[in-house]
Amino acid sequence: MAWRVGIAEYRVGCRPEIFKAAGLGSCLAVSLYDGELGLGGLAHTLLPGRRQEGPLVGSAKYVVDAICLMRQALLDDGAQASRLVAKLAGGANMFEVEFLSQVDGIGARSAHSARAALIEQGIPLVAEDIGGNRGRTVEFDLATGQLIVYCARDRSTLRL
Amino acid sequence: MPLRVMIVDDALFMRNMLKDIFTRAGHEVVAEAEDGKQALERYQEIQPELVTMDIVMPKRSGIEALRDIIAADPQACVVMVSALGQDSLVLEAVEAGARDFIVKPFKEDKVLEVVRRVTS
Amino acid sequence: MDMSQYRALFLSEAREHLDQMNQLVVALEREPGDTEAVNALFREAHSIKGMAATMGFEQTAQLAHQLEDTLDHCRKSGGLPVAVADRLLDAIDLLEGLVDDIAADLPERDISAFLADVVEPAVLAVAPKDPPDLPLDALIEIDEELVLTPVEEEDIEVLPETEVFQISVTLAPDVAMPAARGLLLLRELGKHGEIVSSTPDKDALLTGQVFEQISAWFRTSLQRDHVRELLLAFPDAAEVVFVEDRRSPKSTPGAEAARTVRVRTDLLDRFVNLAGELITQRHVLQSCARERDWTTLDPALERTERLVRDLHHHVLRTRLMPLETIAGRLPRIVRDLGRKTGKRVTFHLIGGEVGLDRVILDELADPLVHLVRNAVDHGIRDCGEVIVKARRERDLVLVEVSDDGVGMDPATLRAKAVQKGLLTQTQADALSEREALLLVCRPGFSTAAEVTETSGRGVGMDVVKAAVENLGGNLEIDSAPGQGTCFRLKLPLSIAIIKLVLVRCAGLPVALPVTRVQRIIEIPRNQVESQEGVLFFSLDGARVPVVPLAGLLGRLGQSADPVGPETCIVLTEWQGAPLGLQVDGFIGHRDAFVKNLGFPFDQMVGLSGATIEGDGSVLFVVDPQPLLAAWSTDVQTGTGETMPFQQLSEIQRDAFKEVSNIGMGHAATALSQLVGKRIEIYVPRVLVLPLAEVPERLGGAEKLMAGIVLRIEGETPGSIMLLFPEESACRLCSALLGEEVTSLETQETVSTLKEVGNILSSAYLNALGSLIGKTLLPSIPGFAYDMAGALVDALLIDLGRQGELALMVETEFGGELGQGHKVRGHFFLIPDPETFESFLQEAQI
Repeated sequence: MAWRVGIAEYRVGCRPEIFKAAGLGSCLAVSLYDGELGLGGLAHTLLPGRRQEGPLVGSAKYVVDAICLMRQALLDDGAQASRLVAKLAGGANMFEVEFLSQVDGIGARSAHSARAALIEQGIPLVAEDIGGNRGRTVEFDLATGQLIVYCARDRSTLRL
Repeated sequence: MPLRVMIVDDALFMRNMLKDIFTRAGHEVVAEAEDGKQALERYQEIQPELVTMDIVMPKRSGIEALRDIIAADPQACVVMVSALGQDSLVLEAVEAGARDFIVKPFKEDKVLEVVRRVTS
Repeated sequence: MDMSQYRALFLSEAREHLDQMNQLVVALEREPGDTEAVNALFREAHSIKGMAATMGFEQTAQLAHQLEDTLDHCRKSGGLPVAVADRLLDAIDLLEGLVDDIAADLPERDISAFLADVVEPAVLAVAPKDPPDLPLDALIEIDEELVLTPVEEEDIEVLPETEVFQISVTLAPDVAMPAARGLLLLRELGKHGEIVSSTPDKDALLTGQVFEQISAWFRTSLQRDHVRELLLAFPDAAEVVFVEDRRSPKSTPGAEAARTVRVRTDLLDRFVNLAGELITQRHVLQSCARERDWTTLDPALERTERLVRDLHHHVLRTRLMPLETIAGRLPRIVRDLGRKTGKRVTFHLIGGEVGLDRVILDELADPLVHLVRNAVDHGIRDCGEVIVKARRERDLVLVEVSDDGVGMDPATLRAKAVQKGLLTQTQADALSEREALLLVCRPGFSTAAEVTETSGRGVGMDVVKAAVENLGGNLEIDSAPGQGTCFRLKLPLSIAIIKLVLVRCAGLPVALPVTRVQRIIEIPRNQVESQEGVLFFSLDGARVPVVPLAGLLGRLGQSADPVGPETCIVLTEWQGAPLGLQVDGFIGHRDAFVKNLGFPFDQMVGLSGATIEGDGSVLFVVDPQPLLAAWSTDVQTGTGETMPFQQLSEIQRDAFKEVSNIGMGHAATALSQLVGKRIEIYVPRVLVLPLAEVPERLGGAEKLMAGIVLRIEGETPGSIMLLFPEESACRLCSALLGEEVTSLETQETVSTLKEVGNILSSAYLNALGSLIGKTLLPSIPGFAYDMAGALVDALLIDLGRQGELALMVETEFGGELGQGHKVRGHFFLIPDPETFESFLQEAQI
């Protein structure tokens, strides 16, 4: 049974758990994993960048915040920073219409800020499935570190 | 008297619906266009007696297309087709020379009444 | 000379004269020899004649003139025969009708038939001695001339071969886009002549001004009938009127406009004095401020306060009018009804001089007539008396309508209510005598064995009660079999300023009208006991039920005050018995100017108005009666919503629901017309939930749905999302395209669904926009067929930036497209965070 990770939420845990972020449109899923211990986390982020003001709260709404929070939680649980690897999925552009111009490419912007944050934190990005105009559901299997990307629209499955 | 009609709308079912109404009333739908740009090209090519023009369309909007057509043919008889609530757009179109307007969702008799009036 | 400015005054005076005449005729019937009364009647008729003739209301003047003749005849013969009394009353009725016509801006009605009747020998055996001031034939001539005479003030040149008409075109009530229609109408007229002026004019129309009627001065060589034909052929032109009245429509205010009050000159003098004293006082204050002279300041402020209080008191007095103003017609009504039913009824008015705010008087007029009619009709058997009695009781006015007739039997009323299915036997048995009597005020309750021509007891009593309660008053009934019936109306003296009791409830100050409060009691908290879930406390040995006011307001558990050992109970009355409203504490009394609330807050149960506090904050006035009514229904049916939302008050939620209900109603109608089948909407839900919960509310994050999304453009941005399950989307497309659709991927289905989105949202936003007085336009729609969660997350971006919660108004709709093909869809309105604020502001909170 997979644990649900909803919008603006993240979760860390240990194998053999499975985390699931369902119905990602422009949202971006980020996974971090320490393969040695089978320890990892999954975040379901809504917005690029970080929260502009106030302290870091426990919300994974902003992708940079999510990465920092999740990394810290994993280190607290005994993960080694040098062993962490990251994967990204999501960030689609669902509606190709003018009015969404202000949100147009928000997925791409999220992915961009995620990559930058990962570099800053020294976490290698090992796989990603970003963009397009299809919604995705991702399952993060802590036993294998695999990020399984499922596309309900065309019933395709991708294993990252 | 049968009319030669051109229907401009980006939605097929709207075009079909209007086409059925016109055909039943004995008019001939001589052209269809699905955006404002196509509308002008077809208009110049076919010279229909009546044009129904959706207002909200991709590429050139119905109002822009209306201005194009009136510029090309000041006598053009164009009836706007609009959804409820787009009053200001319809007013703009009427100012720009639209002969009348039809509000979606429309009833057959209303459409024909408007057509009769603008072409009499 | 422009007479229109005097019209309102004419109307109010004419009505007073007519009331007076009614009373005089009835009095004369009792004492036919009263020559002074005949003289008085003559004077009244004469006054009306003079006023009407000056104003140019010829029919009215003519009728008043004839009345004057008849009365002159009576005056000379020294009596008033019965037949003449009846004719006089008929004439007065007709005059009232004419005055109504004038008030409603209609041409005066034709009275020639009535006038022709004048030769009836019994009525006018003797011809009038004085020649009429206005010869009959001359008047008729003038009337015909009016038809084609334009208004002089308009100063329009009539060119040869052309005529000038004033035309008024009324558009069909359901006309779409009236402004555009009006513009086309003017353009059409312009083709056939010259538009000299129009109301509204072209510029006003171009700004989208809303109107029902367009009037124009139109110069043309066409015949009148031709112009009429031309206009009637115009779509949506419901009515074309050639205005034949000399008064132009723009100078005649509607019947409701410009109500006048006559103020005694001594009162006006008092105002002038007070204003003078205030000016002096201002100088004193200014000098105090300049000199920083604080010792003079206090007495100066005190004096200013006294002056303002005085001024306020006197201003209120100008609004007070005696009850007589509306009770004047009652004797006549009793008389007519008595004659019709063959009962001998005498009528007494006691305390007719008691003053009430004129707004209250206006609203009270019909209920009073109703009560008096009821008394004659059902109260009195063969003979008896009906008394209307008014008296002032501190800040209240008590109006009683009583009869000495058969009375009402609470037992009969209980049985009736059970038989009608209004109450169960247990509920009926539980009612006190007083409560049982109030059953006659329930809608649909009638105790009269048959409904008579004039009134059916119960028919309209609900309206009477509602009217009294709307005025901030209440209604009580005393009656017993054989003991007569007394309806007691407790009314506030004035509704402009209301005395309020301020209490603290769930951390908020809340105001209650003082008329609803009997006492305020502070008792130790532990004296409020609970039994079988019902709270109560003991008062003078009796058990009084207690309801927490916070619970009625949906704010339970939000008390911001520390819980002390004492609790505060506001003693009020509910269904004739005492009831305690538990609040956090008593704050004080306040005289306040209470404003009515605008839409949609006026739809909220129990909110009767609001007043602005000294610090600018808004204080809501809560009327516990409707809240208790709603609460008791909830308790009985068990549907009471007890789960309050922290972020959005009950009231705000209801406002959103209501608005959405209306908007979605329009949208469903539009869809129904498209598919030619009935589309129903379900009750809208207002969802305030964490962002993470949103996809689950859309039927599950992974559920495949057809989604159409639109932005709301304009001053109040937001998003709209329409979701259809795949099957429903296919069926909808099949119905619209006329062919079997199995895939949502084709260009045809995509464009069809976008169009559906466009039409539904336009209709929805059109209705919503007109409610809040804003223009809301939908953008071009976007479409995707995918997982619900993926469809919606882009819409949460703005909300996500602002907070952790999403507010959505959801309406489910659906219908059957034939052959058992059901269609279902969800319509979501997701206002941007700033829109939410602006929405509340627009609703005048």
